Amino acid sequence: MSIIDTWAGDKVSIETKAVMGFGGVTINDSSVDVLDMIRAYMDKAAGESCGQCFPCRSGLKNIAKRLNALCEGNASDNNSENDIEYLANLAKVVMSSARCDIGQTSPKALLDIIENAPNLLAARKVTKGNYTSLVTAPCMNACPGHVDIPTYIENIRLRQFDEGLSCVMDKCSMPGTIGRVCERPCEAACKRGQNGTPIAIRHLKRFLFDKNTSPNIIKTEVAPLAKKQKVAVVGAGPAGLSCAYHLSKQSFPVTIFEKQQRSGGMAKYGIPDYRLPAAVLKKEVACVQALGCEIQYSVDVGSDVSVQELLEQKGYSAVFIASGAPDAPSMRCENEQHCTTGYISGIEYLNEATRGNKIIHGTRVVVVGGGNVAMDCVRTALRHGFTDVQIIYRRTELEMPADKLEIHEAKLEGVTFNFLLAPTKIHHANGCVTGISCQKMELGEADASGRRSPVPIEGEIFELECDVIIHAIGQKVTVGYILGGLSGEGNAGLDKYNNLEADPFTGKVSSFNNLFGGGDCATGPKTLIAALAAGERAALHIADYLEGKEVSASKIEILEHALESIKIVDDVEIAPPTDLTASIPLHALPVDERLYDFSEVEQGSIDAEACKEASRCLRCFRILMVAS
Amino acid sequence: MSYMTINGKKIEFRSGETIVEAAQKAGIYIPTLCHLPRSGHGDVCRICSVEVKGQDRFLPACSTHAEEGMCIETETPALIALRKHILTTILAEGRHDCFMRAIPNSKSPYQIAAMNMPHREHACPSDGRCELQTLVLKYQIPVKDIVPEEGDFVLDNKHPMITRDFSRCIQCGRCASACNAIQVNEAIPSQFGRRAEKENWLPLVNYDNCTHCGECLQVCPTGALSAKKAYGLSTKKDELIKIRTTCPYCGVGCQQELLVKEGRIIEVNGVADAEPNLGRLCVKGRFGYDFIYSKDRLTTPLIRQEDGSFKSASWDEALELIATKFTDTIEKYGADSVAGVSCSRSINEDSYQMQKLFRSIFKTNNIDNCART
Ligand SMILES: Cc1cc2nc3c(=O)[nH]c(=O)nc-3n(C[C@H](O)[C@H](O)[C@H](O)COP(=O)(O)OP(=O)(O)OC[C@H]3O[C@@H](n4cnc5c(N)ncnc54)[C@H](O)[C@@H]3O)c2cc1C
Ligand code: SF4
Ligand code: SF4
Ligand code: SF4
Ligand code: FES
Repeated sequence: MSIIDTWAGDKVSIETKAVMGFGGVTINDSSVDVLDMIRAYMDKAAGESCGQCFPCRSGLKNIAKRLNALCEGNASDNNSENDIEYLANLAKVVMSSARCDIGQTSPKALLDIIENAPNLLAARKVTKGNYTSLVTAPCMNACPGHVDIPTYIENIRLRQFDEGLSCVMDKCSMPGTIGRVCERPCEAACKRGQNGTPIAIRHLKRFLFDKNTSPNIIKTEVAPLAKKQKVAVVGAGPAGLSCAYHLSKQSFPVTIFEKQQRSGGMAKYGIPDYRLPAAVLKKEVACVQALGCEIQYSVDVGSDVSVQELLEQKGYSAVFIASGAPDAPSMRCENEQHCTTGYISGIEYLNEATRGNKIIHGTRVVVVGGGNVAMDCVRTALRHGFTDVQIIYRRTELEMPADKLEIHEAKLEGVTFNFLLAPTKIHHANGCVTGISCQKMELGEADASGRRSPVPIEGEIFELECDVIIHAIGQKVTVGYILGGLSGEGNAGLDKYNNLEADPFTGKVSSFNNLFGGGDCATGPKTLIAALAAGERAALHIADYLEGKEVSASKIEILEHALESIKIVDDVEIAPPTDLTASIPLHALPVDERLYDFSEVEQGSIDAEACKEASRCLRCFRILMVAS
Repeated sequence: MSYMTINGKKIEFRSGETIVEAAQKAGIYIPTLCHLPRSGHGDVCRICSVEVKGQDRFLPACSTHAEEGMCIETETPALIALRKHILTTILAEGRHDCFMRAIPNSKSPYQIAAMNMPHREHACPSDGRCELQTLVLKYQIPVKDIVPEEGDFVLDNKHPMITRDFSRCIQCGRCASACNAIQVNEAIPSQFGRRAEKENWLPLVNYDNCTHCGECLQVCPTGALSAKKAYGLSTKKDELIKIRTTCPYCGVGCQQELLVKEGRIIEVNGVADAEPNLGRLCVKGRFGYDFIYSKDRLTTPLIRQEDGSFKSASWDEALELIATKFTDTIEKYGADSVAGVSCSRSINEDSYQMQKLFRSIFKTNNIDNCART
């Protein structure tokens, strides 16, 4: 058991004998040969060097070379002290002048040893240890899919657009969708953001996707699927498609069973076209199919065929469940049950809208909620011709979970925001909505999540007149019927919220060995990239299962996760110098041209803009190594 | 205007300028090597590193923006040590024979390694113009004592006009940037990338995409890329004259700088800060000058005889004949029976006069120019 100390003193524990990293070294077990480990660490660092800046390219290579010689027992001039002086000098040169964090941070571990225990570096024959290393960056670590962001950004800078796209797709099989509508936790973590605008990480992904002209993304011939064991996937949403993509890449035949007539899940039947045009999804789905995956539409697993049948009769060796969170909970306010017209859930409204249907009528609409679904509802309603579009939300704008950019765009397009209001009662005449009563709120004590919860202000209730009320306050998982008979009496495979009880790393559903799952059906409503990541990780572990290996989280997965809880970039680090390169101009459709139809609002960028934006990236790569 | 301090001197700069640009305008020299201002490429060699107050590491002056109130030192002992370190490593990684030629019989390992490479019959084509050489001399690197590092040096002689001798390549990436970002031919995949995948990446050319424009040749700071035609034609001691001219090939009017030795062109380069080409040239403009020295060039007018052979004539004789024939033809068949095609390699003024002659004197509109095709 050991603790990773960060510069700021946060701690996290993992089972390790020793840790070397960008913050220094900790050793917990005397059996670790420090000389061999620092050799392995510097070998790794030299291998990660991108070969651009001269000090890092040659410096790390020469440090590694000298350490390798020491590990063979060869000191230069038979005097390890000369070597140590040479190493210390080189380490300092690299740290002070390297371009990115590979050179700037990785010699820190070596210097730590030289400062505290130089005797450990005396030349001698070493026994090679067993090490695991992780290369990550603040953005990469914050991304649930751990997409290798700095690498694809560098690819763009060097105009290697094909390589960049395939780098993204190693982890994220829907670069066009993610490049448009991801919630971009990466950008919030970007080190550039400490002192200016973060890199437009999401937009650069979209740029790479838009540069690709092939109808199914793939440019080279695909090898036929070689492996015998088949896998069934329930649901062609992001999680299901991602799992199928990564299994197909490993040559496993996959069949996806999808209830609807099209693939994409909520990306297709939730997110409106003005944010995510249908053509984008179509291309991404074509890519999965081009790899050899089959998609069967209009099959409701649990009703038309059971998971048990798939496993026992249809010859599938494993099943991955990715059925999403398709239901809307009720708003729990008075008269809900009496309104047949003009009262609907956001999920249902958007679902119909994405199919080209407008199922509500009138001029005034009130949307209840503060998330992205609510934003999609108001902006869709504007495009449906509603002229008075209002949002009511229980807290203030600061607490709104919706993307700031979405809020901004909604305001631009003419949505009225009402904060600190909670719905209490729906008014209706003959089943038709006529208005909504709202309770005024104020912010009270902070709750467990740190958000201040709203409390009603006694007696302050008033009515808003409207023709339609859309409630967009959450989504519900309905996965029980899919497991059906398998679950038995005791709800096996379901957790206490009736979500699928899938392991967050491997996706394995508790108490089954051939059943996996992930995405919204396991976590409750989350994000596209979380769903894609769950599919990708499960694909790796399903492959392990099919190949008879043990199904458990890998060390790298655990390390990456451990780093999520401490910050990679400590506050004590000096912020990067102000970046005066103008950040990428985002082109959008003029507001007065937007509301006639569902044309995409945000527009792409040209090469020069993207390359310039890419050149702003600091490449905050960090290398961590543990001995076990 | 904003202000910052370089080496204790307060200087003015405009927002958006890099430290190097600001320093240059103030007459302060900061060495650069990998920097290619035209494409914004840089941040590779770190020769331009400077100390910026408040930062815990050196910053590259070529790609760091100047900021209000910045306090910079450009030649501290630490920086000089760093530059020496970098230059020494660059030399050790390559085989730079120019320094060795000057010291005839020393048999240092570096000299042996550098002189024993292929393609060393003549001095390095960049001798005297090489940016690496200049810096090595400025920072007084003891080249003789350098221990050469092992390396695999490709010599690519496949291109008809350019030799690529990677034992002189410093991996600055300028050629790749010129090809990909300036000419956008995308023929030189960048040599940068994780070393674990390939330790020694070189800026090798994909000849399927190469248009032979030679932009890479122009930007290479060393003798790694050299023009075959000039190999062995000049040495460091020679006085090279620079002549600014306009490319005669087409109507665009690219600005060129000819490097000339004793009346002979050694190299043709684009003028970096001049419109319309901003340094770029195409294959014709850069390499198509052999006709100047052709033995078959006409030096006097020739008049065809009855029997088909040519007789050399004076200009008076020739022009007289042309005038008579044209007058006769026009008188007999009308003005539209003659036509003129002006050579697009002639200057604007000549072309103007040509059309004036046809329109106002001959009175026909049958006049054209071969740049149209
Ligand atoms: C309106 C809206 C806007 C959103 N905007 C964003 C955003 O901007 N950014 C972001 O990151 N996330 C956004 N999300 C969240 C994101 O869409 C989801 O987190 C993501 O789609 C979850 O993927 P999934 O594959 O787990 O589930 P889903 O996308 O829900 O896919 C599940 C699929 O399984 C199918 N299915 C269900 N049951 C069965 C069955 N029994 N048999 C066969 N098939 C079945 C469904 O038809 C569906 O196709 C949004 C969600 C909504 C609703
Ligand atoms: S600067 Fe680049 S590497 Fe650093 S966090 Fe931002 S995107 Fe990631
Ligand atoms: S000659 Fe022109 S096209 Fe060919 S490699 Fe050099 S820069 Fe690229
Ligand atoms: S060939 Fe010349 S321009 Fe290209 S990387 Fe080498 S030294 Fe630089
Ligand atoms: S000239 Fe600035 S890094 Fe090379």
